[in-house]
Amino acid sequence: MRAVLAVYFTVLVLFLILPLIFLVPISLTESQFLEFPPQTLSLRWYSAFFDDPTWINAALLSFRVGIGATFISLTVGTLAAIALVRAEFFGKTALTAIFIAPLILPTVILALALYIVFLRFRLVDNVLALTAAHSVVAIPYVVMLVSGSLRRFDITLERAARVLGASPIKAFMLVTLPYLVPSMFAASILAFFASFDELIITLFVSGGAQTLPVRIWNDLGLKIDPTVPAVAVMLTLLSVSGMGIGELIRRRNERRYNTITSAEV
Amino acid sequence: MVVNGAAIEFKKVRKTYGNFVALESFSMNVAAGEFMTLLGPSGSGKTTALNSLAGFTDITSGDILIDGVSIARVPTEKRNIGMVFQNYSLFPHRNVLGNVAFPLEMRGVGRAEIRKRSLKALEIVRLGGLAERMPHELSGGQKQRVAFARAIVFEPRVLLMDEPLGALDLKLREAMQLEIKQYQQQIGCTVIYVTHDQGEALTLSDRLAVMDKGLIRQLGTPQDLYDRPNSRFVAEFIGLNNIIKISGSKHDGAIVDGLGVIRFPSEIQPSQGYLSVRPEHIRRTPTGGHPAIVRQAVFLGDAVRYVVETRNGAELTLAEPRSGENSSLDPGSEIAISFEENRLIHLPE
Ligand SMILES: Nc1ncnc2c1ncn2[C@@H]1O[C@H](COP(=O)(O)OP(=O)(O)O)[C@@H](O)[C@H]1O
Ligand SMILES: [Mg+2]
Repeated sequence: MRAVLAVYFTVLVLFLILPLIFLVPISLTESQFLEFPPQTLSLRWYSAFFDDPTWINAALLSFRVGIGATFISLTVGTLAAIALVRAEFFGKTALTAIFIAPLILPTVILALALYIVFLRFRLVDNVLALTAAHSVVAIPYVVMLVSGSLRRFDITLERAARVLGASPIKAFMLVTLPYLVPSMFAASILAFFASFDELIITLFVSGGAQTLPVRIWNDLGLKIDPTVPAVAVMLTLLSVSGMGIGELIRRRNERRYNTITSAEV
Repeated sequence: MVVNGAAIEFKKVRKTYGNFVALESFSMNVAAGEFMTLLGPSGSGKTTALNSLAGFTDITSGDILIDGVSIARVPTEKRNIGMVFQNYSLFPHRNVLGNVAFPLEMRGVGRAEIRKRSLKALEIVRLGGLAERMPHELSGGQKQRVAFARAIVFEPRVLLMDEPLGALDLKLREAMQLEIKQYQQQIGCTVIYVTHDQGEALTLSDRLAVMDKGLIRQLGTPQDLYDRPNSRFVAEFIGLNNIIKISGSKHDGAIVDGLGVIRFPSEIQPSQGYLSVRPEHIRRTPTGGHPAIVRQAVFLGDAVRYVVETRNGAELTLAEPRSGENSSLDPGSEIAISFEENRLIHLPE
């Protein structure tokens, strides 16, 4: 049984990461074409990326939109999470569903809907509107992570702050918010990458503006040179380190808060 | 650090959750500087009472006064109440000093003053050296002390404690009880303390209120409640007790199940309710008394506790100090027992 499990997981893990592993040697080739295994190694295609202004501009646009979308979704999503967890109002369940919906809805449909709205209000090819569209996809991550964290928060901490002299807002800012920061950080990393690698919605509403994924997509149609795998490897490294930092912060927080209740009980 | 405690008055406080009554005509006067304990089983409404004083719970009706002034419209943060919670509720992202300083920061005290007073409070709880530690680096007892320092640093005149020792092990709990009592006498604030541990309540309190299902069943000094419980509930909740049903009366005493006619120290002999007698008020007697068989003997160190059964089937527990001249008994021994008559209590319900 154990052997079967071991084989199963090995196959599964390989299936998940093998394509990524292939990308690394391919991106390091000296040749014009995608070749595996590469004959000679070089960083040629990495420098090709940095030398080509269309790649750089695409990357910069992606960062701008990504950071903007992160900022918007973090603000909107956190406030929504607070309302959904703390307030009692009619239609709360429905509202929760609506905030999570973009995660479940087929992206094409969402993209189509956004495209129609954007056409109507002449927002196609507008970076701010694109950022807003990306926030829609990013908000569910923020709502889920922050509301989950807020639900686990021990309300007596906030009460302690209140009785010791803090107004409701101060108690929230000084006690609850620090508790939420790590999950907000994790959520913003997810939100950033939700925007950063967003392709479908961008294709529909960007009106030709090239984000990094759009640039890669466009490249595939024309020629395939090893710049694309080089970009892919860099993106992967970026995501992995982002997630890693988020996880570290989350763990540190966990340790602090867990020991309050479980240490000597 | 000496303050004058505030007087607290609960006036017919009632709290309901839907149809459920958590607190019912809860009335209580706590004198300035008094140590008052709410004692009762889980769910009896102790926390609800404390939370309505702190302002976490809106009461359904009634009123609460501090020094004669209603606090109904005073928000929690303006009530100037110190509070210690069961799970310490230290702020995890602030170090010990930051935790203790919090109430002073909220009151706009100056930087240097905050530091001075926080360190002073930490010294009172003998944690002067740990000011820079984070809460998760402290032991349970230390956290409890920090929580206490944080609750008294701004010299509140009222201090509330909701099962503050509940999460500690027995030995630490007993040590902390003495400390809490000591601090309170040193500071002079009024304390309302919540516990479900009757031993703790007897040790600490000037007076205590025994609660059940949202009602105060009896309120008095520890001696009052121990010596003169007013109901079966209180008699069973505080200390060990023998409680036996009374099924009628004769001209010279009450008829008690399994014991026959027992004469109470009162004028009128009860005809219903219960007889209550503490184990230490039952003696072995060489002549007369009620014949009984020893069923169980439990060695307690300074005393031996016997469970005995009378000929007519009443089961009684008696405690006998080992310093006495009596030799210890084995299960099965036949003895005779008698009661200290003026210690017999009649419980109407
Ligand atoms: N927010 C609430 N909603 C409904 N019932 C509650 C709420 N808070 C407390 N109760 C109920 O009120 C009763 C008294 O609770 P509590 O005061 O916490 O008891 P204690 O502190 O004596 O254990 C309990 O039965 C509890 O279930
Ligand atoms: Mg309670």
